[in-house]
Amino acid sequence: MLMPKRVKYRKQQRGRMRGKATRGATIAFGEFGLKALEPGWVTQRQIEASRVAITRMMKREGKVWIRIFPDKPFTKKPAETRMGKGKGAPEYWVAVVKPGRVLFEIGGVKRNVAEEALSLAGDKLPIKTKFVVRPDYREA
Amino acid sequence: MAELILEAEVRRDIGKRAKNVRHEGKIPGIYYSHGRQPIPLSVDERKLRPLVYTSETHIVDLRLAGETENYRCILKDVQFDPVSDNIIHFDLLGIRADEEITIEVPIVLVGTPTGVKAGGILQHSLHRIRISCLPKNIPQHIEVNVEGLEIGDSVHAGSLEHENFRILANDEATVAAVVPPTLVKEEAAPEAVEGAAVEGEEIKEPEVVGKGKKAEEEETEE
Repeated sequence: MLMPKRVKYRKQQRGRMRGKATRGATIAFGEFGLKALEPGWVTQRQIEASRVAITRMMKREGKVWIRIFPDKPFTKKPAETRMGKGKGAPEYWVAVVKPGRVLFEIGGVKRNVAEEALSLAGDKLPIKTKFVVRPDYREA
Repeated sequence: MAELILEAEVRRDIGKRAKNVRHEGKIPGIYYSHGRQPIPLSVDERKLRPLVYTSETHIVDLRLAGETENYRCILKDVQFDPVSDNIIHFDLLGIRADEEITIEVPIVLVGTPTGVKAGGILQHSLHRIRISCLPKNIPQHIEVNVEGLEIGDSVHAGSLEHENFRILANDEATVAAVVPPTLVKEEAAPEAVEGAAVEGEEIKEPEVVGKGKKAEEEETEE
């Protein structure tokens, strides 16, 4: 699963997710992509589940690019603990996603296969997504 | 080189007021050329589509409403809304017959590589390439024949055949490659993978590089 190798600080504040994505909003590597339509936190497990769904649908063809990385620690207090006594321990990692962000890209497969694969991947995510195609794409 | 006629109007709403143009169903844009005053434009969205959603380069014959002069130009840049992917602005660069221009041209792969027939995967890495040339020499697209590629072979920007234009991209940039197929491990219980197998995996903590921060926090936790 994706997570940072080294970090400067173990815990982070939650932050805000205002506005639209200004970077990573266009298809850069492949021909098809999955774009976020809502803001949200996507966990490392959700990214992995989506990746597995895409690769399984595409079988051995094509290539997949993951355009997000979970670099924000999510902390949680243990069950049945009283409030206070500091922030909880890091539990897992999330990627901060803003509307417009391209989450996954696919190349080297037919459009209908890509559409199906990315639809399955979108079902694994906690946000609304849509299938996008490179503007200069032409059917081979 | 295909030519496309684009009918446009001179736009009065400039700056932030350009959004008024979008409300009317038109797209704001700008025409600029070396040594001329820029002209703000507005174009009907449907007329702009064939110019944007294509894998070919076009020379645009810009015709402004109420003007007799035609402007020859190329589509230099397009901006899209990050969420809706609608066109929000476009740039037209005026061209002169004797002046070299820099333009991005699409790359089209031709043929099926022998490596793909043997089970390899064709990766098209570079979809557009920057070139410099005179307007009359702008290619519609650059065709790259990939038929002879075996598994492990690749085509680089430096090896592209070209006449009458200069490639500005790095010679080492990979245009296309045939890579060996990825080996998929046989999974014992496919249904269990998405949830349980992933959940069963233990998430280790990464190394903290902050100066003594980890030690400090551990002390406070205790």
